[in-house]
Amino acid sequence: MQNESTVQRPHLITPGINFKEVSDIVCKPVEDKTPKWWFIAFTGAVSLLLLLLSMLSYLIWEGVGVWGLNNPVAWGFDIVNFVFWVGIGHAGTLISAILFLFKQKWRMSINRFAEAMTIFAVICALVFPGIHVGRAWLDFYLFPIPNQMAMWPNFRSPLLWDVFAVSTYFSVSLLFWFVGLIPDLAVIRDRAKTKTKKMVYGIFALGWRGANRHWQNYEKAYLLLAALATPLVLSVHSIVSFDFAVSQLPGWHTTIFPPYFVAGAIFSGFAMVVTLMVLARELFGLKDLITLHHLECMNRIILATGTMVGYAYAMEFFTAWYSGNQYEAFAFVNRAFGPYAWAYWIMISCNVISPQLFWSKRIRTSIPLMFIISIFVNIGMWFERFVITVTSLHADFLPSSWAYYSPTWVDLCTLAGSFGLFFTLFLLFLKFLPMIAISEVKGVMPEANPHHGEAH
Amino acid sequence: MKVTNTRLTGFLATTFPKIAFGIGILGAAFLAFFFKQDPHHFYFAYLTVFMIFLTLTLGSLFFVLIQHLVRAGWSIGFKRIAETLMSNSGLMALLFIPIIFGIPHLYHWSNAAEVAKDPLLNSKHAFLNIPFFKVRALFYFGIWITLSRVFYKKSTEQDSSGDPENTVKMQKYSTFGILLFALSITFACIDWVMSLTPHWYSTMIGVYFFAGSVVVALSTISCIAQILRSQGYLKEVLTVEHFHEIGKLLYGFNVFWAYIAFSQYFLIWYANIPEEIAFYLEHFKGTWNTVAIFLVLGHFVGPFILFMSRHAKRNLPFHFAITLWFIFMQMVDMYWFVMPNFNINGFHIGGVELAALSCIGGLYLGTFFTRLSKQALYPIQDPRISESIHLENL
Repeated sequence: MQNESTVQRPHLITPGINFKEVSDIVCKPVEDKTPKWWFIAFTGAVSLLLLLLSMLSYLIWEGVGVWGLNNPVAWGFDIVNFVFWVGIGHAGTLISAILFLFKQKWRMSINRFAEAMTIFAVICALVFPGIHVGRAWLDFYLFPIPNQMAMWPNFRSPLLWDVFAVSTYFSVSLLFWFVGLIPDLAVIRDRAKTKTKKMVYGIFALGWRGANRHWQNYEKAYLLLAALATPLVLSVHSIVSFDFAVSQLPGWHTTIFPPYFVAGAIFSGFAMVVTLMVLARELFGLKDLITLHHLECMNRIILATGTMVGYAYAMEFFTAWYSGNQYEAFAFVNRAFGPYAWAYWIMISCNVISPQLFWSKRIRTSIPLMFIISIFVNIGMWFERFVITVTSLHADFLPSSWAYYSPTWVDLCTLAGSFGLFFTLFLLFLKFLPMIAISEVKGVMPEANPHHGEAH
Repeated sequence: MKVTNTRLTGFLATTFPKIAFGIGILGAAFLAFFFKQDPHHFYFAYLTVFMIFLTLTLGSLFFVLIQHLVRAGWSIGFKRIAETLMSNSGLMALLFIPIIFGIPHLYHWSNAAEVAKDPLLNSKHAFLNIPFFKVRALFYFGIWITLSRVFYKKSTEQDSSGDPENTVKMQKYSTFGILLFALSITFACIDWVMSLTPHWYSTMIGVYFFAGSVVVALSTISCIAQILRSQGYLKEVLTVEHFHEIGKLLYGFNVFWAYIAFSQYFLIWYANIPEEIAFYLEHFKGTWNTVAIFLVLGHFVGPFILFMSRHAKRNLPFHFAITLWFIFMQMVDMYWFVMPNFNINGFHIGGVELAALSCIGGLYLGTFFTRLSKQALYPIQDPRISESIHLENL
């Protein structure tokens, strides 16, 4: 570990590792025999995925009555899960695009991993609007498809903009991820021992030979995609926040929502990256490439974004009072002390209090503690969306219709099942693709400097 | 490495501050005249100009804090300029005194008779009252002056001692420094600008002023650096690469400003709730609408297109012009935020606005260049100076 009291730049990967060893370490999980724990985990994930599929079938067969929605609370677990998963899907593109533009070299070891997570999280998110509409077989109406009835979606609704925002985000993220993968797929192709493997990876490597011209085009494409993806990171969750904030409902309508949602999304996304990264570097022996320094940097971002989220909570509370609007004030007092106070205080303790522990370097660099805190943050961020969605709705403008919302077993199983979808895809990724960007890591090693080894 | 003069000497160090102070005092004399004519108009004009320079000072403070927080290496050449700008927070505290006298003119909520009539103002009285307002102002300036003094002192000390420990200390202080900064700028904007229209509220207001202040601070830092460079200073530490970097940051923050401004406007427009939309209705009235459109085009659309390319950021004369333009746009922004409370039917620039600008601006620049000439123009012993010099944008 580097000493806190120096101003020297820390080593990004453990010194003494050479280029070949980097390739070996990263390719090992793809090339070696699949470990036993992977099969166990995969079985678990697929079982949950089957649970999701059966819940979705049951839902489509029976109708949304199987959910716990009631009259004032028309947005329940479906929307909460949607926002939760979209949020998780923010870390990857932030790391790959924004940190790239900021020249944060520590991102090189973690970007592939986080980008993959982003894509799988967005896939999970996309399930929910599709079923939230009620009649899933009419989902195509989400898109403005010309039809003989001249029926169009409501272009003035942020829910429609969401369709465009999330699908654009998904496409650009996927493209970004794939472009980054090309040189590494070629590495695996060149190392492949069987013919099938050589062919399959070869197709996806798009004929990459590592020529100077290839690299020039690659770098340019990467920079352009980073520049395109950066505003997307902000726009997606801003538009998700518009779903709530354009309404007149106290608790939903507040101007800070867009940046607050973006900060919250990055916060939850990073927490998920830390959770999975801690496990992966342990299980696959990646400690030389994903060092404690990387984890510490991520924890710092969790601390920063967690504090921003705390700032937004405080501003909302202050303004609810300052506005002098009794309905605003009620919505917030009801959140903290009403029937959903338990959810609110889970949210506050997980999102605002627990990341503050990262002020301490000891906690920031302790693997078990960061693992626990990152899980707390994941829980807290799920509850944040629950609090925003449900507590604002359950006591709406008409006191006679106030009702308490509780999820049904279908709601709970669908949530659990969405984790199955996520982990199934994720485990497949770990098995079949290089989980660290080999070429990018090599690029930030001291040996990559043309002047390396020269006397000054 | 050829080291040119690291100290500011000659015209900018001696004659220019005198001229600036002269303009400032002349402006003050004119202001006194205008004050006699129409104190109400005077206070609003004064607050507008005060906010322009306050946001510049706070934006510079943020620049210094964030560079330490993220351990940036590229920005060392710009740092002393930012440090000197933020050190004007003491001057801003002095310049705040007239606003204290202007409370009855500026803020409805200070009028007991109006508060008694208005249940909304009555409900806010616990926050919006004169003694608490003054105490809060004391707190804000306390935070800003302390932070800027500590960072200025640690940085200039390092010029002679070369102790990297100072950098470590500043990195440590920057963490809670940025927290204090965020809270103080938010509530200062709520107090001094948002409460001009006391019925109106927006949770975004702090972020809006923060975004604008970073844009104006980055522009001013880059602009002053170019002026110094044209006089032969800073050439060994600031090259086109550094201007390219600060240009990118400036461009990014300008888009951020637009994002915040748009979100705030859009959400209020869409929901159309009377107490919120009233703000925009007032600020779109008559020729204020023209100013608002000019702000959108001039602050965002124009620079968004013109300053996007790498060539634009690296073309130093063009870069210089854009920074001047951004400084001007911040003036327009503050003017559009504050003045519709006085000139209800449309914008009108009179002598009092120009007098306030020359008064505060003269004193501000005079103090700035005097302080700048007292120390080296960049932190000559910063441990990351060599990293900064070798910056490249590939």
